Amino acid sequence: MTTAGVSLKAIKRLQVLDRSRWLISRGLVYAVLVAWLIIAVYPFAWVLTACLKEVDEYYLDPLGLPANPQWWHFAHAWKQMRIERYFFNSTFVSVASVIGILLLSASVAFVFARFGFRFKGVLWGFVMFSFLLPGTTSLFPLVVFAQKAGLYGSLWSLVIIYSAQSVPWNAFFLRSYMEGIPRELEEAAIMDGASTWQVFWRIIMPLSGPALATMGTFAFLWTWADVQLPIMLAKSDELFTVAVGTLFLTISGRGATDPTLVASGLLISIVPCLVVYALLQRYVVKGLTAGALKGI
Amino acid sequence: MIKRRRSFHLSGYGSTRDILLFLLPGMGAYAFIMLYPNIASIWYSLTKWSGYGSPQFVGLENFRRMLRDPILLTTLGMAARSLSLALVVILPLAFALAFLLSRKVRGRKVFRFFYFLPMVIPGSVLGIMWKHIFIYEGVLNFALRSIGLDAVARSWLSELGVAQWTVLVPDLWSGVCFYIIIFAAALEGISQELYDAASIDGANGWQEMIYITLPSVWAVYVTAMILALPGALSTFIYPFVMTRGGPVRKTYTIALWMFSNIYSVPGSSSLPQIGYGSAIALLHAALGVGLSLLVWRFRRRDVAVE
Repeated sequence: MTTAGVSLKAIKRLQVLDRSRWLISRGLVYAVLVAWLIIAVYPFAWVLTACLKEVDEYYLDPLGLPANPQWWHFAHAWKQMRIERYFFNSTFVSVASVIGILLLSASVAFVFARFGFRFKGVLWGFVMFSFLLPGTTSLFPLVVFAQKAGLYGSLWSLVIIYSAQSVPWNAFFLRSYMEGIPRELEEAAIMDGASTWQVFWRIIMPLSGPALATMGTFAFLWTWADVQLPIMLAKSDELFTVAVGTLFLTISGRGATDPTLVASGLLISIVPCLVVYALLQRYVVKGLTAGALKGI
Repeated sequence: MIKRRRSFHLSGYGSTRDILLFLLPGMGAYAFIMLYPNIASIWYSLTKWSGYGSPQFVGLENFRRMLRDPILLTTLGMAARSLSLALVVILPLAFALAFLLSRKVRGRKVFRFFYFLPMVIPGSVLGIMWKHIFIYEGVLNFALRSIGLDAVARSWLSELGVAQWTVLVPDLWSGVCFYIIIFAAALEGISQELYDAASIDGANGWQEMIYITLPSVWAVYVTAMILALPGALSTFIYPFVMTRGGPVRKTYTIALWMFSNIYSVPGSSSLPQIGYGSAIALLHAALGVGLSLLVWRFRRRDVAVE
């Protein structure tokens, strides 16, 4: 031990020194973390202050707080964006896609997690292969597919495409989760004569609840945010999702010259995402970190 | 009668028939959505087609045209910028912040909640927010002028040499926010016993960093690279929202270049160019696959060393 010969006084002095150094480094740690916190949320703070300002006031001082809040901006933005239509479209697409994604991927994940069969390795390789490809190549052919299948002009085209496209990522995640579910429960059920179907619905799915919540949240946020596919598949603005609608907010009408109205529209459009995040936050962070720690 | 050769249970649990029934919907849908569009893209890339009527076969004309197109260099330049930002700024900065966050900070959950916020908001919304920060009459210039830095204020989105970086700022911002959460979880997962043992042996902070922290999270860091580097090639929404590829078409990324060929804004007179767009999409896919394989090799070697 190196400390064996050091006098008691010297140790005390070191401790005092240590203490003050510790305090300074603590302070620095918080300063840096708070600095990044401000950077991370500033754009949201912009929305919150800008949406309530008068236009002239905004251009004079885009940074400060609104002097007299203009609550009518929300009503105006709501009308201008036809937002109830977009909200309906987005909600339908996201909810239906989440259901489709979870059903398709969970059944695939279940089979890969529990059974051995011929070509299992090859099939899994085929699933993993999609991680290599960026989605750009599929974009236009999918529009053609929707047209040929008679789905062009229907929101179902988005639901079907999203559900199929997300199988690899979700099956990958759910498989590793389901492999962690102990087999004793299902063995008892099989003894009692349960079928594959019953084991899947009565044991595997309920026990996969947290993983399903994680993947469902991501699927919701992803389908809510996607722009490329819905913009390509929208025959008219009747079929716009909220994310697409916000894009047109800055191009047409008063939004082009009035940042305060744009900010109100943006704020309305992100409310569902904020609600989902606030409610399901623990699944988001937990799932994300579980997936990342396992590594791809 | 059900064939029971592979099944050991009366109920038929795990029978071949059941396996097929469970696999078919998911795998069938995925196989279709994966194979058909990619094969179709290869065919379209050999044609001239506006999306109306039928495609006209033109051989490799689209690829020849791509090599002569000055936008090709622009997009490769943007890709190089994105990649270097990811490697030099996003991942190291996220790691540094995550390291600070893992130092038993009070209110860690609050930090985490807000750091992750950008990830749950659609990119189109974030892009519009950032646009209003960067435009000439925007927040950033106002802030710079009010602290006397008038000389620094500029047209962030239309000055050549500046705009190419400006449109990547939101990517940097959201990237750091995302990887902080990943790295923080990895760092919190390191067993405290390792550090206790090290401090008994008289290790200082740097030694702990080099001999415990870095080796423990290296696998996660590589995973982050696997996600971040190919992702850097797909930058689309921010330049699309903030500059539409301008000024003088100098902020085109590959994905935006592709998209602007296959999508024409309603009411515009120019027809989409599906053939050319598909050729660009194939270039994007080739670069993406190449880069992914490169990073994956890196990962395997790392595992072998362990």
